[in-house]
Amino acid sequence: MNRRTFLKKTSATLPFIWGLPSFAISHASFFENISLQGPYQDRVLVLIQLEGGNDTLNTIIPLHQYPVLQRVRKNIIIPENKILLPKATVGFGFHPSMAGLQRLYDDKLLSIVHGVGYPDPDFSHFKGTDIKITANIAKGEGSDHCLSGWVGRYVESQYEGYPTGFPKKTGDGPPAVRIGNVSPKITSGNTVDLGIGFNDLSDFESLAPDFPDSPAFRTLGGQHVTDITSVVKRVKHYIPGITSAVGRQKNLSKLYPERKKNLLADRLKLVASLIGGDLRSQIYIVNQTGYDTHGDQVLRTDTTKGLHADLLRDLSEAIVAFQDDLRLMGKLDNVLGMTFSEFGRRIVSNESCGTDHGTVEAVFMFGTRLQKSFVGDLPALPEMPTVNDNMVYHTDFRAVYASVLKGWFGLPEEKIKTILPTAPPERLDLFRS
Amino acid sequence: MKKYEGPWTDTQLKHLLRRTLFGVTLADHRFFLGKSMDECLDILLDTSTNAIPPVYYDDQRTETIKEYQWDHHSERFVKFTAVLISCFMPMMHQPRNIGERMVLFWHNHFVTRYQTTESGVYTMQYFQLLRKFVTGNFKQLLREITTNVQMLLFLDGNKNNKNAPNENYARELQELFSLGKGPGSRYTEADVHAAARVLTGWVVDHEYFTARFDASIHDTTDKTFSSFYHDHVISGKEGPDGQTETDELIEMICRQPEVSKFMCRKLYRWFVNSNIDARVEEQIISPLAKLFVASGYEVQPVLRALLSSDFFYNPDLIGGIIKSPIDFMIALIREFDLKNDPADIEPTGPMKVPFWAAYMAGKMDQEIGSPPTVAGWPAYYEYPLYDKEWLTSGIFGQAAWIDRVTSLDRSDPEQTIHLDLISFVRSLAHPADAVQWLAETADLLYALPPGAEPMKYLQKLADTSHSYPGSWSEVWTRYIAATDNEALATEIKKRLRDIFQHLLTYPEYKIR
Repeated sequence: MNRRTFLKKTSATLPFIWGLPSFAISHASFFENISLQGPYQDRVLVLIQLEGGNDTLNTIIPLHQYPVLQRVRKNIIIPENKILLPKATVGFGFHPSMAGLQRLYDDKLLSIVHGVGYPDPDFSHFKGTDIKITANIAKGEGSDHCLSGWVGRYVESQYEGYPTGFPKKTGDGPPAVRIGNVSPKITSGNTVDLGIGFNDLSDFESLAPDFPDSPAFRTLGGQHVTDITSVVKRVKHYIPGITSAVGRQKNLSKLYPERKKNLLADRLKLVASLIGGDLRSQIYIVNQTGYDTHGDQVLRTDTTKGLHADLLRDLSEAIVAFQDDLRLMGKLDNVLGMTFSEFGRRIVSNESCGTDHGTVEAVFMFGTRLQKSFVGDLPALPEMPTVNDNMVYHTDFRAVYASVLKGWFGLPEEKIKTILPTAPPERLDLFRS
Repeated sequence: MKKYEGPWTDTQLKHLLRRTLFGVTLADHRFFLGKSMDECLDILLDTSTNAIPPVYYDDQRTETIKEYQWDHHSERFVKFTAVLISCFMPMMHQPRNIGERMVLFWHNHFVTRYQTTESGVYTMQYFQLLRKFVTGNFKQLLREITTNVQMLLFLDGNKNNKNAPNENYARELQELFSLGKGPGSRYTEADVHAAARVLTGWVVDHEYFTARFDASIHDTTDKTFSSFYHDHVISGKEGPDGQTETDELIEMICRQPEVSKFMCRKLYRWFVNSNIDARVEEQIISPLAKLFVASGYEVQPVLRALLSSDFFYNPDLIGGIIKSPIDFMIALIREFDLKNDPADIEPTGPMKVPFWAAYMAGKMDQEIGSPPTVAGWPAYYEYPLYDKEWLTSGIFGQAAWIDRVTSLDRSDPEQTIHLDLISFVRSLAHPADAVQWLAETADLLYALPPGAEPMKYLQKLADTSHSYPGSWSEVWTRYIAATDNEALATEIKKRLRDIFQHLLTYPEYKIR
């Protein structure tokens, strides 16, 4: 057996070492351990992090700006006749790799929030990512010192006292789940990480045996020993719930690509069966890497192909299969999806058929309860953009987060203020009730 | 900085070794025992005789690598093999000095990813460059890495030209490689653009596996920098002289004292502790940075000052770093002499242990040769978690690995990598006395002493019989008298498996 067959073998053997659950799951209330009320209590948010900074202008192409773009991104622009146009005339079209998302758009299952950014944007991947996951844009001295993520602060407000007393019963999910290499910072609250992160279920195959605890030393190393012990315990508490949720609900969609061909699809597929299997987790975060397309973003010979086209195709196919799966599971109405990226890219392309770091991103949201498909304005471009020009944002990303907390989870304003203290006051009308 | 003058006991020695080597083997410990701190540092900081693995070019490269690889058809694997040969395996076989830990430091600092390049040659060249400088001159390394082929390909330096500057390298050169983004770093966006223009003209010559300066695509106009750089102007130069602008740029950047501070913070985080408060900044970083500048950016004097400082031996810091997956893997391999595992010879060639160990470290989010971002592994820059990042990612992988290397199932030889626990125990001072040898093992492998309860639990496992009755002492004594007795050997192996599955899983083994 060579390495490849080993990989196949291990991935095919799902680790149901804890066995299937012997207890009956009560479906009366999905999230009985948290404080969401009424129509909001079964709702789930799935975040997709597009790592590297997505080139918005080649993803959602503003048609009225096409002549400008033709001048300044000649070597990467998508030919006008290849742009996918939505049924309704909306002034923009989709990258040709995104036929699936265009259909979702036409069916009112996808909405795009245009022109999302924040004042005085940062062009560093790391600071940019930090800003998006902490929702703290402060810069300069001490600015690196935001300790928690916005997701972490939100779930912290819902799971009072966590981790003490959680999970309330075997089978409950963690407050948040990260799949792939998503930074734990996004799910960290003010005192503790409220997320559980893993790559796939094979991670759980052989977990540590139980053993007696060591006494706590009051040194840094002693603190680490205590932390390690408690993290291992916390993870172990949630594994039965995670594995049995997957055991309860097989994936039903036939639209998923072959395993390992599209990592994002693999991750969303796992999320779908966790949601379908009634794992009680409120937020899932997955990631797709590779958007830092400084060079060879497109093929020189055909700008509809290349790195970016592959990424957008993977994104589109993954979301479509995920939505199809949720629909077949009867969970589609409960789930909202949303993308985020550390920034968009420069208006003017570079010589290497790529784009450098820019500012504004377009946020995709998908689900059945979306109010309208077109939110915000298409970003305005200067008449004659130079290499240093960037798009100016219309919608603050913190206002988007706040609007999701308000509209999707029904969170009252006073709570939103504690989670997103610096969010501007405007709220987007994103959802149908 | 105050030099450490306290007692030089086993505690301080092992602390120093755990921070400079990967794990401490019995042989390492015996080698350094009885030497003073200064004598130890003389040895640990002398990397002058370290072997530098060759770069295998072209056909020669292909053939040599094929001997090592399992899957001859995967180009990606060939490149990964290059990483193993030029980085992972030298760590496994490290000499008793700081060299290999510094190679990993530079890899995490001057990040490239092996997947970016077209062949293993560039990966090997890249590691060779890092290895050439281990504790050498930072400024020279910064200059050389700027036009290293792997780096030119990774951060698009080869695509940066006068018509459309590509800022990728120019930005990271300042943000990540030299100045950082601390409060004292105030370069501007305009400085990024100007630096990109200075760096135009470097291309990769794939025929000769080398970087070349192409004056025809170099921006020959003057480049003016911001007040942070004292409005310095790098005057544009025609022809081959254009490449001297790159030298001038590195000089200009390194004249900023912030470079020395940024690098000393990074070294401090790497060797001492992630959290830098105002006191550390004032008492450690400042004097180290001054020393760094005074020595013309020589790294070795800084390391000596840091590793002999009173601060470094503060008892509160002992065990204060959570092992990264690579730390964990390499330490385990060295401590149990896995590199000489007879199972490592056939049928899959000498790559079995390094391949699987590196593969598992990758699954735990630390893939050698391929840090996830150009800033390195988040555990070394992401406030406030730092090394706690490894807590979550490492839990599953470490458990799976321990399970695998302690397993007695040998049904699949290609899968089998196992610790020779009998040899390990035999090499200890009192193998027949479980209380004593377990204490000796814990002392060697753990940075902090475990509690009485966990140790009692291990002792109980030593005395718990599977099919051959008797206390550890009885069974071991009988086994030593008759090592070819199958039943006794099996009994010993099973007890050792039970013990080490726990011993290596305790949190004390996850810190250093």
